[in-house]
Amino acid sequence: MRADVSQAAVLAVTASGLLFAQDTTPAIRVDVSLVNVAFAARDARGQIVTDLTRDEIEVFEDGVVQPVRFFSQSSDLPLRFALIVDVSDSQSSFNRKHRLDVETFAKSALGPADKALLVCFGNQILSGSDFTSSSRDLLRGLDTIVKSHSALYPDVTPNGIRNHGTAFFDAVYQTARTKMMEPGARKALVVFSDGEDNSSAYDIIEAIEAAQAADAPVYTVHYSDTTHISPHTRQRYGKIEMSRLAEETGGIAYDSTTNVAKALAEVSSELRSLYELGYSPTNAARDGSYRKIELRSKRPGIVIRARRGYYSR
Amino acid sequence: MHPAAILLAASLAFAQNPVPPSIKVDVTLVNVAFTARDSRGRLVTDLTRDEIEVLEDGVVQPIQFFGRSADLPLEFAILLDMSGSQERFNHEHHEDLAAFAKEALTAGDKALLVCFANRMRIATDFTSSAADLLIGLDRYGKNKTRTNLIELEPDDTRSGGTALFDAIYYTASLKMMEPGARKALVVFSDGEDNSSARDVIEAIEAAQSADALIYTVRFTEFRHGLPTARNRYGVTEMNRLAADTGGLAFDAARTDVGAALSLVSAELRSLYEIGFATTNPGHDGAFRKLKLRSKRPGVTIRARSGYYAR
Repeated sequence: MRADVSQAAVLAVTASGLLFAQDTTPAIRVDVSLVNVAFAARDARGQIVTDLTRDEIEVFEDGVVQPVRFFSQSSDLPLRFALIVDVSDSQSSFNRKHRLDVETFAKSALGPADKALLVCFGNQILSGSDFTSSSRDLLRGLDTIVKSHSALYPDVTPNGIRNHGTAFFDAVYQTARTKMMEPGARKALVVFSDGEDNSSAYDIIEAIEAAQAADAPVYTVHYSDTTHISPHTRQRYGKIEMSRLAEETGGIAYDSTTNVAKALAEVSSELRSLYELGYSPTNAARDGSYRKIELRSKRPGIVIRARRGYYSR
Repeated sequence: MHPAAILLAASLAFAQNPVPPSIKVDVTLVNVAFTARDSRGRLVTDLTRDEIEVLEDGVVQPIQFFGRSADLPLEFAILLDMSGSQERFNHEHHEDLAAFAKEALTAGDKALLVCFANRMRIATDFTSSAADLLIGLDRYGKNKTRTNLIELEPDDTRSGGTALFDAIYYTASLKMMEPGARKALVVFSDGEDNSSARDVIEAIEAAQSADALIYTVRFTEFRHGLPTARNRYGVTEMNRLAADTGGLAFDAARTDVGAALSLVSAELRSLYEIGFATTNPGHDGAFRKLKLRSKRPGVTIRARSGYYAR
């Protein structure tokens, strides 16, 4: 749960010490913790806005205006995706659709310089493919796992027991923490599931925290059996959890009844148009507390989406 | 919390005046109950208004009232997890309820008993009688069909065993919203929810809205002596419920439950109450972080972590 201040830049300026080896002048240490926030901007009609300037954005942390240290928008940063696919029993009727989605994703969202990894989960968390640009690798990984499971991520508990079928939070948490913490790329998680977790060690807040710490928005595609007249309690729960994950991390929650191919293409173009800004928080304490982040645009009609906070660890 | 939106419509009707002047003031008053302890863990009972600072989203708030009275009646909701996973603790639950009645409930207080598995039933509605609580639990245990017990928010689509978050959510929002008493939920469970429609965040929100503190007593069943993933999850959830509402989390395996409950009772009787007119009166539904600070050194304040501006 470290590095919630994503890519905390610790600059140790030891110039005097290096240059004058004989000198007893104490080294000057400057500890600057930068908080980076990637954000999407859309106008009142939902169109992506690409010409915002630094002066048009205000950043608040816990209601206090923050000094923006850098601001940029470049459309040619490579993307790093984590595709997280629920292969638990409750989703078995969607296995074919999931395969189709992964295929569509590779075709419509993955650019030549982009890479994606594939994680499948039931009550174990399995690696289908590490980062690759090849849609074949991704599909082969998925097919292999659907046929025969083998665990990848060690369980978080001492003896590694997970009962029941769906370790949704653990899958998001472990993937964000072990695969998405590298700086220098634009990252996103795309999750296909019903959200009906019943076997994780981590909870919704820890899953959100891990994605926020990686500054990786979570895009969710909710698959649920809709043969019942009214959704049962667990279906409502799953839907809430998937929406929360998206909202709190700056992503979008989709339902499988929408056009998934179109949604995935939208995700890709949105990620390519993200702005990045960095600020040094006025509250520099590393007290582990949650800090609310709010970005406001001074230009009227602009809607900003970004992660809603981070934990100052 | 639903900030008590107080609409003061002062129509001063002067009989002779054809157009009575009418003043309307819309004030959003937020109430927060808090406990104060010194560095050695003892309750501090002599804090003054000037020693406390309230921050909402980092902005200092104007305190409208500040009080502490030791004789306010307490209103408890006791939630007992009667799901299969807690079966081996049923006997202890009976003892704990008896301990609660003995250690925590005093004259003037009221308590409600909710037993839950994947349904939530009122075993005893609000009562001042310790005997009624125990009779309610016995009745729940003996009548397997339980058709004579009132259900909180019946929902036939709930499967799985443990609807902890739903139990807290509906108890707080249906039974604890009346102002005028000091309110607390005391929850006995393993925290391993697997059948609720509501999640932990909504359960916390409902308790925060009622300005009710949640005290949790956790009974974890370790298989083969080692914690499973789900055990860990249950620990996290029980701790969160308490921490975000200003209550305390106890581990039944390491605590004298009777002593813990008498501590809870003493703590609730020494609570301070503070009210402020928020500087951000918008009802945007957003979570507002609350932080209470004591200017007196060494004093630790515990209160709910925030509220939703609905």
